[in-house]
Amino acid sequence: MAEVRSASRHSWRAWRQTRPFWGGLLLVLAGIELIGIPLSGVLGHGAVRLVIYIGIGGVFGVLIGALLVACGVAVWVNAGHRQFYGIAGVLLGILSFPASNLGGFFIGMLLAIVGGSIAFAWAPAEPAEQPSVSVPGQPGHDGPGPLPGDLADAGPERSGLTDLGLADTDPGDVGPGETGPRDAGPADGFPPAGTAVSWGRGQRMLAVAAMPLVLLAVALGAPGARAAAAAPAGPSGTCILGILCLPSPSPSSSPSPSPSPGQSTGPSSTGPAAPTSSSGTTPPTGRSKGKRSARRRASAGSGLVAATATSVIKAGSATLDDLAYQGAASVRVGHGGTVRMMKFTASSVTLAGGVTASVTQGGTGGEPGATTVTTSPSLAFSGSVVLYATQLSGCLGPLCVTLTPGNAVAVLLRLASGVTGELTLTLTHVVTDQPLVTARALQAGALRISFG
Amino acid sequence: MSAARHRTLGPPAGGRVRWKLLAAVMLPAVAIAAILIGLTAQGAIAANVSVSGQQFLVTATQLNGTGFEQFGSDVSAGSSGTQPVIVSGIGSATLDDLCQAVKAGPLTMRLTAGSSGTPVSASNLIVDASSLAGSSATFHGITIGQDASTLTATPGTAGSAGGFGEQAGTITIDNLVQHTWLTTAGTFTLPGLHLSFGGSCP
Repeated sequence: MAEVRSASRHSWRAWRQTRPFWGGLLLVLAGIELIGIPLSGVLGHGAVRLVIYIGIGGVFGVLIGALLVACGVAVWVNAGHRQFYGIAGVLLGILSFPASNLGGFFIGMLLAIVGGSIAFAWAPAEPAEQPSVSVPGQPGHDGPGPLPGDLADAGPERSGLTDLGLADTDPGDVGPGETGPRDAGPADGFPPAGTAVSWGRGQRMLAVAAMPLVLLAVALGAPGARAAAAAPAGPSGTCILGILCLPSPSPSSSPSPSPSPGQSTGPSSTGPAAPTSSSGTTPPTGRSKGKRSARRRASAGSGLVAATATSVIKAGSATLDDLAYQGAASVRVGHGGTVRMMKFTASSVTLAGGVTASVTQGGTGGEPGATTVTTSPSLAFSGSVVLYATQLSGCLGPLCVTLTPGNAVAVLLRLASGVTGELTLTLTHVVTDQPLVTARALQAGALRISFG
Repeated sequence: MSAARHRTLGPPAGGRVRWKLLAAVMLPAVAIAAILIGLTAQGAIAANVSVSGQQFLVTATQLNGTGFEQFGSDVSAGSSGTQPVIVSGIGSATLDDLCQAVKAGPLTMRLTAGSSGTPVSASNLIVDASSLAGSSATFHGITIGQDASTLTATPGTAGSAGGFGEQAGTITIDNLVQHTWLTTAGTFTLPGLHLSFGGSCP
């Protein structure tokens, strides 16, 4: 039993030692990390929609990650071309910073640079290259393994990079992903090789290991310190080894697209909200309130397609300026076909007294869908407001009515007899079903959207 | 089991790393990476961000956007099945004092940017949020109740037919607080980028 395990462990060790194993492993880990961040949500349930969303941005991350995994595997199976794959890994790691979530939030980028460098610099052992190796198989070193910190005692194999590459980046700057391979190394039962390496190599190793860190610290720490001195931008206490604290230099160079003020890009300018595009038989504004004819037909805005999800807007009060009923309109819906809705126009509509908009959708097979609840103390629509609804109820003083496309004209006539001439109408306890609103502007108070 | 026996069984040679070669590759690479990081922190280079699969917090003192649309949908939320989300797409957005807190295992990673006077800017920003709040909001050229499949403000992003959607030409939200499941953007410029562990967004 012990023999079998020892033999398999031995062949595993032999496989590992005849190729830049750790360099390849770091490249593979870097690739997995870069893929994981954009795709972890997709891999969970295979939601294709996410892939579509991620689009070109996520594709870069996934592509770079996949290439890094390929480089790592290629380094293992084709160690002869390790220089090519190593350099490719380093370049991909650098590229991942702008292209993929800041290099997988630095972790993937550092893994790829270190792994690629190690793979590049690995070389098969040649006897002439190991002048400091003394007698192999010194029995005195067999037992408990190398003393902690005694780098000189490590054999050439393990001084390879098992410890270097990882000890190199280990001091915390790389992150949790790093601890795996580092621990795997020594715990893996590297038998003490029993060869002696001069202190010179150990020191050189430490020097090489420290260099990238020093360079990075110099590159980032100095401007960071300057920025910290100039402005009280983030406390340095939250920095990790001076690396993940980035300077906030003068903001002059940033190209920030200024938000264009225009409503010109808005959908309303091209169609539905324009007041003149409404019914030809009815003046778009005024106090007509359906007095001219008992039946009235309005045309819906040409490009407008109404949602069919169950939606209700409730408000304590609604103030409508220059309200006009344009008649019943047939509005197209997303699945095809049309739905009959009342069409109102107004110069402004202000909903107040606790506005709640509930939308229920997404239910399948009779199950209730998710309900999105939007709340705000007030919603003020202004500028060519057009409101479509399948049902509208509210109270005008003591008189509460419910309007539908079928009875709107009659009810409004009844209402109008009491409020003739009024330009501004204030309803209370307003409930609007299937609302479809367009307006030039909407000013909302404290807005909150969540799932109820 | 002794090391001596292993050596007799094994191939005669292992491999080793040549330190000078390692340094020759790694030092320039680290230097280039440091330059890229510095340029990104100045906002000179746009980064590409797309995060999904867990809920995280995004706050900003002000969001300005052109080409806004919003509709309901759902995302997979790992073992707990699907999570309904509000999908917001903004063609071009600027965010002041952006803060994004992502849980990475036991750690919370906090990314802040745009607090030095120059806002963060993003193109084709798409956010799937489970909740969204703002102290006030202003929309121009708005349509509410439009079929989600006919939204056009952010090209390539639309909901399913029958869904409830809205879109607007421009949008301003003050004191935005979102719990999001997915964030993706074509490009992000992150002036004043600062990444730290621990803490959360205000």
